[in-house]
Amino acid sequence: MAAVGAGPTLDRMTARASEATPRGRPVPVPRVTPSTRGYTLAAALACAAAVGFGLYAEEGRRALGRSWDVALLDLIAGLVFVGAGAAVFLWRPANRCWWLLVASGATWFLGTLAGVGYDDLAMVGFVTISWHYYFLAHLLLAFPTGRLPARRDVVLLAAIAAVLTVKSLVRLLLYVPPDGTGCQCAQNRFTGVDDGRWYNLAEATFPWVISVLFALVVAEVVVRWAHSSGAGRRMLTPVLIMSAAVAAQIAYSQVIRQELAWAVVRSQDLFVLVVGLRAIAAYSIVVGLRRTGQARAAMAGAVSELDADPARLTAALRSALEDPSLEVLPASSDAVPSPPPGRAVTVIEGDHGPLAALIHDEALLEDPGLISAVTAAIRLTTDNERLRRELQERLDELAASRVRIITAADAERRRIERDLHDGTQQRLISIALQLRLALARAEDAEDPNGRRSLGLDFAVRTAVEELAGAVGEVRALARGIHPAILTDAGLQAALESLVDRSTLNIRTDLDVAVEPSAGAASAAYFCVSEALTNIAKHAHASDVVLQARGRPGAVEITIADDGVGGAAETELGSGLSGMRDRLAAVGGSLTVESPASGGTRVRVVVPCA
Amino acid sequence: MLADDSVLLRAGIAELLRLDGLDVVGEAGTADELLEQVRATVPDVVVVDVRMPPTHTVEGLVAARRIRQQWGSAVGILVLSQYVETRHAVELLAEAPDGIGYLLKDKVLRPEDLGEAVRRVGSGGSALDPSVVSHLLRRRRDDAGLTSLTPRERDVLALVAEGRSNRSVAATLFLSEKTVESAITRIFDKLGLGEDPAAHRRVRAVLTWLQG
Repeated sequence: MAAVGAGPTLDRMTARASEATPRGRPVPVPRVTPSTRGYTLAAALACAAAVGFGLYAEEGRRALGRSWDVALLDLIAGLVFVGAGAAVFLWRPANRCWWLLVASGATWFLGTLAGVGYDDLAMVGFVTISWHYYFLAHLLLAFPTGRLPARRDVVLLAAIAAVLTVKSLVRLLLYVPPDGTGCQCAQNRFTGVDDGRWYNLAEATFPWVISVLFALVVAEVVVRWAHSSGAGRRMLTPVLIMSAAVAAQIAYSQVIRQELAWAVVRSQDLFVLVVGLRAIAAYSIVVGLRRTGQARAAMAGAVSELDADPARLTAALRSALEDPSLEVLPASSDAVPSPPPGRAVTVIEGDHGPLAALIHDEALLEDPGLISAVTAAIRLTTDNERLRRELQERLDELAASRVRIITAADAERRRIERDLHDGTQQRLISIALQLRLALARAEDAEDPNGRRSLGLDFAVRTAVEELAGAVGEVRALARGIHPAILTDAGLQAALESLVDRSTLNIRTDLDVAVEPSAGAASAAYFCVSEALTNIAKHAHASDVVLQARGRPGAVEITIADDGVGGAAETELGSGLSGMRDRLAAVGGSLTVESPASGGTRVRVVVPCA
Repeated sequence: MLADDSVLLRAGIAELLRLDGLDVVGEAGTADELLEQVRATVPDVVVVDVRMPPTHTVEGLVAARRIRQQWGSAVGILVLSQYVETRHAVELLAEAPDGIGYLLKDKVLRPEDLGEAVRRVGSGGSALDPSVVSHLLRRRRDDAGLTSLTPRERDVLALVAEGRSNRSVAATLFLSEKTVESAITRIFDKLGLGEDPAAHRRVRAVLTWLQG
């Protein structure tokens, strides 16, 4: 015990707390950084407090005849609570426990005033000597949120406050000095009685009453602990043990030792015990609060792992909140189920009505920050999932519309090709034919003047030649728009036809096992066509290899040449980059390798069923 | 017998053929009509467009194949196409080129060529469009046998592949038939083909060689 009461307890305590990291990988802990002004204020207060406590200790030593070590222990017993309050305030300013800690520490010092040599000041200390019990009880009941969770807690605290008030009033109004019970005052100018009967009766009753009330406080903490699961228990356990110890100490020193005069501990040792208990109590409270901080940190870690999968969300929340029975209910269920005892329901509200309902350990409600972190996490997850779904829908729609556009364009090309072959070309041939026939008829007809016939003959032959040229052009145009062979005989035949028509010397190795869809085949065909045109224009190649391979689910076509290479894709012409888009729309791809050292390799992949 | 879905064109071709002294015994607008009329009249030669209703793809080729299956080389078939696909031609002539022709439709503008092709096909010969032959020749351009030919011999080879007779080759190249004959012998030597006197058989030999 003696080791605990040393001065640097507070420093050691905070140092240990900040070293603590949550389970698993390190997670950044949200930290409240006080402003510079806050630090200046704290430093000034610390200086003032140091001077004040120095004077206080010296006065106590001189007036009460205390030894230095007792005076120091007394100082520590109060200061550990003030220090713990300051620590809580620094990194959990929203938590109201800090002021209870500070108040409990500050009121501790009031009793010492009873020993000073000035009557009124000594009376102040004498009257208020037991009020630190109130703040200690309040602290134990309000831990960890700083709020009183149940009505009975308020009643219990009110009872304690009432008992203390009665005690204070009795001391103020009925105490007749000096009687050697503690007040170092010569006279009490507030009293109206001559003898101390009533005062003695009240003083004899108080220890019993306060011991019972503290037993109730412990009982309340035990009940709360029993109703908690996982996280809640872990948080409450140190406080539970400490409150039991403190209550036992109060009972012992107030009743057993004083009233029943059954002393097993020397007065000096008891005081050391009390100071040690108080130090450990303050430490437990700070550690307990630190635990909720860790839960929040774990929550922050959980948020980063959240995704749209509800099972993973539940698992992440369960592990972050250390509540293995936690349930996430979908928002659609209108009726929020009534929770079993010890469980609580939290409905998470989104922008458009409830998103989900959580069934969890009641203890989690003790840290509203934790619940709001969970709420934020679930909102984030739900929003995320909704956004991702919307994005995916849009992407799907976009891809579908691109396919529709390409398909429509392909169909249009085929229609134009058919119109050119079966309409325009037929018609031109037909006109030429009719001209031929007209000429033949004119030749047959009797014509006495042969010269006019010769002129007609020349004109018609010229017209027919022109028409034949037009027919050839239309044929080339139709092939450029859509090669009929692709529809008639498939991709492999179309590629062979392409090779037949090329001026290049092309070696082929074609094995298109499965025919791709019309759109994919057409995209692949025009890609190869474009690549061959580029080779003929720029590559100065002597050897060109065209290879096509049907693989499961795809056809892979490679066009490789031994030309100059070094063709940047931008220089390959807008034709090929247009092809890339067209290929992408049908789920295919285009890669071009053209190192400066020479040679170009174009790889086209199109999917097939 | 003439099959083409364009009435005007069909009438024009029919008249051209008649002017050329050929007898047009029937006209059809669809492949089904064609098969029906062939069954009724069994003509010497069928002139058929590749693209016909309903799909305008290769109905003519399909009909030609069915006619061949049913009547063999008794009915000569001349296929006309708006565009030339070596693959279609090779498929058509691969089995037996006897009495089969494949011409670009533009040939109707040269009535004398069309008439000759119809007659050749009718008499069991072949008619292959020069553009198909040139594609086939280009495929084998690196062949040692082909590079050893003189330009004149290559011209002769192309015309032989088209299915022309010695006389026709001679007339086209302004040579004597005797010169053509000896050129053909040399070509067959260089390409390693056994000499075959029958004109249509030598077409098959040349085509088989060209297809590699």
